[in-house]
Amino acid sequence: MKDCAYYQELISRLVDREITPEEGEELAAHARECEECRAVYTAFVSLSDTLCAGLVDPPEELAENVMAEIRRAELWKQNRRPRRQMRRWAALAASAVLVIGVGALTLPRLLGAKGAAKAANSEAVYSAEAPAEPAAAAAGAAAYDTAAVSEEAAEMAPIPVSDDFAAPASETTKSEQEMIHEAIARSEEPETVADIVDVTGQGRGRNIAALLVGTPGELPSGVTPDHRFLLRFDIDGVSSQVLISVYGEKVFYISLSGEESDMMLSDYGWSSLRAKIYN
Amino acid sequence: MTEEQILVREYERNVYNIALRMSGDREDALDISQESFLKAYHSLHSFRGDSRFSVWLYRIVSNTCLDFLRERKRRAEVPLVRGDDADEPEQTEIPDESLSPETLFERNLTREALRRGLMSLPEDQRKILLLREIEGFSYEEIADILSLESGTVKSRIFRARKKLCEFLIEDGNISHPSSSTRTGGGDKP
Repeated sequence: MKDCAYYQELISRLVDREITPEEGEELAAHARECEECRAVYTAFVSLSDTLCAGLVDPPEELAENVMAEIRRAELWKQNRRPRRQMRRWAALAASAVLVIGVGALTLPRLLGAKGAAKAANSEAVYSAEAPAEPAAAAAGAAAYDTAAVSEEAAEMAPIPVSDDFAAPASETTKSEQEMIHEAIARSEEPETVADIVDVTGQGRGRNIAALLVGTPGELPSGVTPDHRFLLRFDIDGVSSQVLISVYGEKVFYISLSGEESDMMLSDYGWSSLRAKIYN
Repeated sequence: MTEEQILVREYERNVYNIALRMSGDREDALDISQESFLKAYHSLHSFRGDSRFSVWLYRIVSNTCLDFLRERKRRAEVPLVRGDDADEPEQTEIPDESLSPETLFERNLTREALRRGLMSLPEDQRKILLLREIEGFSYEEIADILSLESGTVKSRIFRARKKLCEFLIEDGNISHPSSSTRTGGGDKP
């Protein structure tokens, strides 16, 4: 003889309209005799009604934030170099490999006192093809300190860095933030971007975020940056980017992805940056 | 309006509500929803159309919820079930008109009580019940989303309902003759 547990599972399926006519007849016959199962039926129906009734409207920012991220991603896609060209770069610039560590690699580390070679010895993981700039035949190196990602990264295609990496940016009277926000609003690339470095990876959001950590400072007023380039990442499928400007001996970088930290700033010598990258 | 905007607008309410009831927290629900939509956007190329788009989307939502809850539990930043309701002034009673006259649910069944009841369920039961109740997926679709046998879907939804009812009874939100408190009890003639 079937017990109430059996019939109550049928009741659950009845509520979901996932019951056969035969099972329905069987259940009805039982329920006529069983007060408890009738009560369970009422409880399940009421619970179902209640669950459906209490839905709330999502906050407006949900759709806004998603669409903003999608726009960023689309902008990034539009500016990606064709794969074929990337492969060509890989072949041509094989001797000029810029190893960009985006794990423990913070900009301070890239620029700092710790030797890049020492860092590279730990777990060199992520490589990008460097520009064939005259002064940049050899590569500086930094590395992840996350060995877990090394195999994955080793399989990745090399990433190009255009050869006008250090080209002076055009003059602008607007702040970087104004410029970049306007450009994003127009879904266009900022005019003053002198170079693009694509760094594509997966699962390294936190590590890459470390790159954006800097010490707040002051932007020079009324001074045109000597160099400017846009550093782009693809983190867990979400595109992020940092605008880096160089004023003499100072390097400024601005996160465009963090709403609460639009501006991140740090002082480092450009000459040491060049030295580390181009050696 | 772009195609992406249309899709987000179409699904945002249900995605958000599933995330809200899975996480029990509005901020977390917002994060989960955003992340789910972005994952869907970035993996749209993998949608082959051999199932409904919503089934594909909710598979992403489901996985994102679980990842998020696991991470939250690991960090122990936010208690799974919050004890105080003081900061939730918007917790209002569920409209009475949604309840039938013979309902077992008293007027004191608030959204907060339901939230606590849902949060008392194991994650797998909570998730499967919400997919059924909020999105109205069939058992077959739920089996597809969660990679389960349909027999497992049936029994898990039943156990979730039963356990939720038991919680609400014990919590004093359902008053009913004591016989109903023993759902799944012994055989009766």
